[in-house]
Amino acid sequence: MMKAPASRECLISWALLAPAIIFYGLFVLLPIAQSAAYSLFDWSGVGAEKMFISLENYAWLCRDPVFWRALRNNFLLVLLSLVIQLPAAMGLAVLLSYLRRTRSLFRTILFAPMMLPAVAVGLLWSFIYLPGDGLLDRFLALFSNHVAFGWLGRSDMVLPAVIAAICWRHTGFHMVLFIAGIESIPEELYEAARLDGASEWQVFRRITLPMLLPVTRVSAVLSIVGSLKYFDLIWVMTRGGPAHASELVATYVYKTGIEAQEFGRGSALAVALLAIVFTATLVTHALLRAWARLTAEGKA
Amino acid sequence: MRQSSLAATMVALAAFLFTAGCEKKPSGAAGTPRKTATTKSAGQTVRLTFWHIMDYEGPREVLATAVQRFEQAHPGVVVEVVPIKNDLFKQKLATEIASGSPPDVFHTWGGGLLAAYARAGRVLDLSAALEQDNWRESFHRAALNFCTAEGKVWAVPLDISIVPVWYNREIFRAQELDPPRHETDLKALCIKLRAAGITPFALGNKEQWPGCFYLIYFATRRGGMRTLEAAAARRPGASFSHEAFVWAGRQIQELVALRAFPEGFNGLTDDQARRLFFTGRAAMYVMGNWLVARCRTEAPAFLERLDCFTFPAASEGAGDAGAVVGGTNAAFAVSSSCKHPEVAVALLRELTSARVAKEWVAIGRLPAIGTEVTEQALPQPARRALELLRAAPAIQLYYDQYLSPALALAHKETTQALFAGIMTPEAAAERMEQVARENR
Amino acid sequence: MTGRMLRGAVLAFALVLATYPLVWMVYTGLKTEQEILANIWSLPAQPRWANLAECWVSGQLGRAYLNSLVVGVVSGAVAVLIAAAAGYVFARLCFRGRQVLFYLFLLGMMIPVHATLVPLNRLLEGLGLRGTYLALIGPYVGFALPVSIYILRGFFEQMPRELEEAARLDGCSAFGVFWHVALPTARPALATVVIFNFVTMWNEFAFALTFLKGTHLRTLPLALYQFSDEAGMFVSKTSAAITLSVVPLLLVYFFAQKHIIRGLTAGAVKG
Repeated sequence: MMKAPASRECLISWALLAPAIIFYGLFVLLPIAQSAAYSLFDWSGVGAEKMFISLENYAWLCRDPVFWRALRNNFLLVLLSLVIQLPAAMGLAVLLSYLRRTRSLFRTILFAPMMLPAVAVGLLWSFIYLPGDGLLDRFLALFSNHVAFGWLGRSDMVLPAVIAAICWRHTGFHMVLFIAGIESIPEELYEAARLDGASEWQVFRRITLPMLLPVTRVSAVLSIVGSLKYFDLIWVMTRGGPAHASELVATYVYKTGIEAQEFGRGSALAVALLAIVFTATLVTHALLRAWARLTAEGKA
Repeated sequence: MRQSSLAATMVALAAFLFTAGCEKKPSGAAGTPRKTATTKSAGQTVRLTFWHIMDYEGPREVLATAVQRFEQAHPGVVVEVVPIKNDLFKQKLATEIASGSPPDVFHTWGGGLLAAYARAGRVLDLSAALEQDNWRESFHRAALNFCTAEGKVWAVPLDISIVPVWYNREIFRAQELDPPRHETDLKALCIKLRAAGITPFALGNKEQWPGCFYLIYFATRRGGMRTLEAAAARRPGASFSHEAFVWAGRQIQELVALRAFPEGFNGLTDDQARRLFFTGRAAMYVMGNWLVARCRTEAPAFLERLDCFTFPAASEGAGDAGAVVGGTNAAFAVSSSCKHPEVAVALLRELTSARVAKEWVAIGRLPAIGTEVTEQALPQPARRALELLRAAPAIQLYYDQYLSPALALAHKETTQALFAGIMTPEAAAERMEQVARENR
Repeated sequence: MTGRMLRGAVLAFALVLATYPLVWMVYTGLKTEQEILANIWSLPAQPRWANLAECWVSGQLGRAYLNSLVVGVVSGAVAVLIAAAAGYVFARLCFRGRQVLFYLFLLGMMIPVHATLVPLNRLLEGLGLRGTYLALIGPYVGFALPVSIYILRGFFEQMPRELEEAARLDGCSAFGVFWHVALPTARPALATVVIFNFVTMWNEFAFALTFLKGTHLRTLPLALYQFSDEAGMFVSKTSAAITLSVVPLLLVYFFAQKHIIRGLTAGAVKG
């Protein structure tokens, strides 16, 4: 352990922390606190008057059907992202682990969608989903009598359609995490298992999967947090429409705050979202830790 | 050594940050050489910021040259012109006004939002300035009305726009169709077009405002402009649940059922709808006359096929059969926090001068400035629109500008829900009434 | 051998799915509008490189690139240094309230950024930073800190202590240990964090839209959005614009990706 005098130690610590605290406090914490303060007021933004109404905005929020619709959409996004992206990412990572020289190249290519700005991805997928003229409809028309379909225009199809685009974009990110995890598994374990005559599937189930648990945990948490906060692609592709069919809490925050200029309500929505994300993160952490302990005990 | 190079990098960074932090001098309208202060007080340059939404070819240049002329006539004044796309503009302006740092001169559509700004003291009262030199007289009365609230004028209009039904002459000729007189004719027309494999209307309702034209027209035709005016002003007995609005909603849903609109229209942008129209795959397009200006730059060959008629009347009902939906799509207001109001107002004069009006006409738009518009200067389709404007007894301002911000949003949302078929006309009307009651 | 063929097929499918839209976009940007209407799949008869040049000019992409570059590089550099310092403290030096403070930083990862638009706008206006690059650099650094600190703390925690202890025995101060030992060892993680932050800031839209005054400071996503509105009707132009705004970044990424992988490993694998 360190032997320097404690007070000197403290000074260094604070000196090193100071810039972080300044930037973070000024540009992040302060605005959040102000936003939380706004949420207690009735403030339409155009006028300068704010009326203190304490928790009334939160009461409104609980009654508002659009908020619940948005939250439901968010949970759908969380669920589908976890169920689609993580297994696909893991699968791709395992596939790539069989390659030697080309692994790096393919890894790069599959990660590329993550590098594009949301505007670009949104525009690209809007072309794909264009009714009749878009890539998807034209592709389907090659095999059938299909003419045109309103992928982004129909309330029932719009959310799955955008989720598909989101999965396309983000799967590569999780794949990279899993590849890193796989690469850190000692080669000897695999060799031993294969010598013992284990099938590929058994190798995966008994060695790879358990050893990827820490990475899975990180991936899951990042995915859940990201899905709950998600804004970019939905906004560019559908703006949360039509008629709130693809509304997410984050887009609703934007519409309420900036478009309808109801800053008090918008802030309340944001604080509610923060609380939800925080709770979800804690719950996820706890659940995964418990599961890790269970499987570890099961083995021993 | 690595450490010293790291230190060197940090020093360089710090230096860069410092220089980057210095304010980049904004250039005036594109290409203006910097004017150094000559006669202005104590050698200080006067800086104005001017935001508008004409970020595309045509109107953008007209405004830019107007600003250049202004700067040349007023040495020592530098105007920073910022054209921003329509919806980004609304959002940016809202944020700026909320944080107390709005631009000096900015674009407005008049109506309810401008009135809200006026009530909150955010814009300058221009009534007094208008009395000088008969400036007021140069404006189209209806356009100026859009910029008026509580008897005072808060913005000056450059543009007046109306929304007729544009149609593709070639398609109509080939299908032997005539412009419909009543909504019953319109529906028959749609059936015929669909049978021929043509999309009747081009519509891209992703941003919600294009679909609103239909609701406004149907409601105006059925119940008249006074129905809306009374409901918005909360007169006793007036309500947004009025039968005219319900009927209007029903017409929209009937049109949707007849497949009058392109597949997936609620997810299409207006740009994509316009593309359908200009490439001849949709026969009609309910849009403002700025379409002509767009046609000139995007699809000049289409101009000769472009024509318009007025929205069909209601077969029953005591509405306004001749009214057109329209507004001012370029009016300018001065922020009350502007440090040089007289200079700003002078800029407004330049922006609404006869010279600019002429250039506005040349690109195919209609000016709100009452100078004699020589028809020859307008492209043919725009002349037709001008005829409709002159023949119209009244102009109904777009609801999403006329109403207060909260009601405007409810209007856009309920209308989109009507188009999506997830709300009944009665429910939509009731929702409008409910929002109106909550936000007196 | 069918196992191998199956694996190859799945991989090929994934590759096509991932890359076809991008490839399509690149060559569509080189077609004329009529060509696109005629046949959406075809390769251009004659690649219209002029499309790219036109987009570059009318979208003012050159200026936008410069702005994005300046903001991204400066923010990335500042953020990583500050985060490294903080991460090191959280990993190595004990003091009261360390854990609480760390969780406070993590909170920043969970915040929907749009809630901070108005307060930050006011703050930046009050500080007079709106007309400068600092209007973006400040918030970008602030919001990059949570994830960066998280990753770097993870790295420092599992860095072997021997090097540091050896330096201490040699008489190095605590700060010296950080500067001369910890930082150089952390190069892969630092590179990762820089690249990760750079990409995030490069693509950031909401703050860039709200906080920048004037058009001369416009970053790339803004320019692209603005351009897509003006030319939205033209699939070819929009494709060309996207290609221009994306391809250089992809190229940079191809060369830098090794660091991303190695650095992500450091924080993630140990959880």
